[in-house]
Amino acid sequence: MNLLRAKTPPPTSRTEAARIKHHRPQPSLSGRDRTKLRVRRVYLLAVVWVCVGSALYAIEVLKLVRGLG
Amino acid sequence: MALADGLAHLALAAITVLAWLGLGSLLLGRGPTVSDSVLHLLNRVGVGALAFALLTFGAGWAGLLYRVGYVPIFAGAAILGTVESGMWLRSAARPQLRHWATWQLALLGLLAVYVVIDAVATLAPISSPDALLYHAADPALFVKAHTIFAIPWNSSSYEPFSVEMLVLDGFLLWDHAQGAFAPLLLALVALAAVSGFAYRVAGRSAALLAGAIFFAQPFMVWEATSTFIEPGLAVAVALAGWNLYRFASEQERDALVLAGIFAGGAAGVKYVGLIAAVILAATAAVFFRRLLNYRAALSFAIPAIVVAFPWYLKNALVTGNPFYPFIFGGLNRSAASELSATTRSFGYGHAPVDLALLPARLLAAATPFDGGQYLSPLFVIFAPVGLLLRHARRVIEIVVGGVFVYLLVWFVTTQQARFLMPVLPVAAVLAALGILALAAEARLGRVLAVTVTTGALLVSLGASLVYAKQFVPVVTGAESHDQFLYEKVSNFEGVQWLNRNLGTRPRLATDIWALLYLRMPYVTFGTQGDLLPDDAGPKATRAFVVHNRITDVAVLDGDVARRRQVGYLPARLIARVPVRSVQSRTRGHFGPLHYMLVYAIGG
Repeated sequence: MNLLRAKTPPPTSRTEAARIKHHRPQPSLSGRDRTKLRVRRVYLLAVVWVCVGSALYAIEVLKLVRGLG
Repeated sequence: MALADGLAHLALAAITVLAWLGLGSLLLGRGPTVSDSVLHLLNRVGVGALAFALLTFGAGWAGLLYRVGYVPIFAGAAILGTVESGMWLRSAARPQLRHWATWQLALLGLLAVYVVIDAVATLAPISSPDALLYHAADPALFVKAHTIFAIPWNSSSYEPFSVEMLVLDGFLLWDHAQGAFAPLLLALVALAAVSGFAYRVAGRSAALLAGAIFFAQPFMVWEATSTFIEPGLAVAVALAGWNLYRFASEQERDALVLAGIFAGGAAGVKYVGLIAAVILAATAAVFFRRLLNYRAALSFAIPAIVVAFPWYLKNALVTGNPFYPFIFGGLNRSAASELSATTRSFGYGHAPVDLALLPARLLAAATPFDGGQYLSPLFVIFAPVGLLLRHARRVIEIVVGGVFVYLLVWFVTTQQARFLMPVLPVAAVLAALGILALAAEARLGRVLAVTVTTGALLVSLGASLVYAKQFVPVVTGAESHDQFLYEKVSNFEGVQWLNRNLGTRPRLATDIWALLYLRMPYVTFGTQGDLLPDDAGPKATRAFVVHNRITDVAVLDGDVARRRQVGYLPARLIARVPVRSVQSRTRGHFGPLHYMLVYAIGG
């Protein structure tokens, strides 16, 4: 098992897909779009956190360097 | 000469790992096994280390701590371990380094540099205050007496002492430096477990990153080379976790038994290991709840209890409280209150707002967490980013949940960075996955992941080199041991004076911490006044002196309570020895000159 590799999603039959499509009200965003949006949000959140975390650590590094001096 | 000694210590350290492997192979020969060859090897090393610790503990209580008894067992186990390691090496796949990316080779090189840094720091004479007070001082007392006994002046000595037993083995084998190698060896086994597990779940890149995050940081250099016990927690939790994962993924029931053994091993290192083991078990129960049944629970719990039991039984027999001095108490009122105040003194506070600010403080202002400023920022920055792995999010959420529960317990009890060690192995793997996930997401993510990781590893390397530099002169022989200890150990001038002028016959009562280097029999008033509270009056003070057959007292002039208590005794001042405290070993900061007052009792 490799946690970095996604599993292939189970295949959905055409009739099943058609049934789901028929019975569901058409959303303004498809499920796939919403997933993409959620992924994008999580990614941006991660980017912001990494930037903030690095800036915070830079403060600690400055203090360590000053302490050595 | 110094170089030859150093090489001999290194060789004996390597042989110690072979001895652990040999004894572990003997014990697991017909016992539980897993089909993963790397995990199987590490399980044998880990079980061997645990077995040596418990054998030493048993031999100690039987009064059998003799070199002549230990060395043949050690040598036999090492021979068996050599054979086993040879067989393993013949069957193991060789890493094809020429196929590795440059950055992967750089991380491997970085880990090799850290092994050298750690070896140099470990070869120096023991100088960290906690080791001088008990981690090394207590095993030294046991070796001298050939037996283990209760040490009532230091409540920490009632914690489970597995790592101290391995330190004691090193003392039996040769000397202090050899004993100090035990925590480093455990840290190296933990590194192998972290990298091995990361390799199994996410490949080589994750293995190298997780190993570097875990091991290539000044915090780990300090932990592994200061005769501390936390590397024992790391290895026990890492191997328990990997075996639990093995059970979940392959349904190998033996892995569950082995996980139980290592969870018990964690509980046998320190009380905090018991907390880690319980949280690990609870997290695992949530993780593979579909596989959970009565038999599975017992397969884990029984070996865990059997391995941890001797330590808690000892406390129950000696003090009446298996968790002494916690939960059911047992210390005198002022010592209990001082211990509680000390454990709660770390960090910024225990309010909800402090919890919310914890990640930011661990990154930007971690000094109050006692060494927290040396912790790699990569754990805090990248472990939460692991949640980017969408298809493994459920697993990662459960693991992060377990880590969070442990952090919560850590937060409400004692906020010492050292006690974060049980979650560092899993946090390192999460952080490695987070780095790789971020790098795989988009160009900005890749740039950030590479820049921040490289920057943090370089800063960590710089800090580690500055820390290790102080040990180079004494290890290479350019500085004498005594000169090194004068510069690194608080009040060492006083210790030298006592050794020179009192000899080995008197029985000393003292309030100084550098107990490892005292040659005469001694007691202290108690780290928290365990034996003689600060506010004890004349009657209790005289009873303390009579009960412990004290002939001399050495106290610091700033210790007003002890000086007042000396006034209750028929004591004669025989010396005022100028001493100084060391405020920072690395920066060479000393406190102001003060005096150690030495009194003869009854003279």
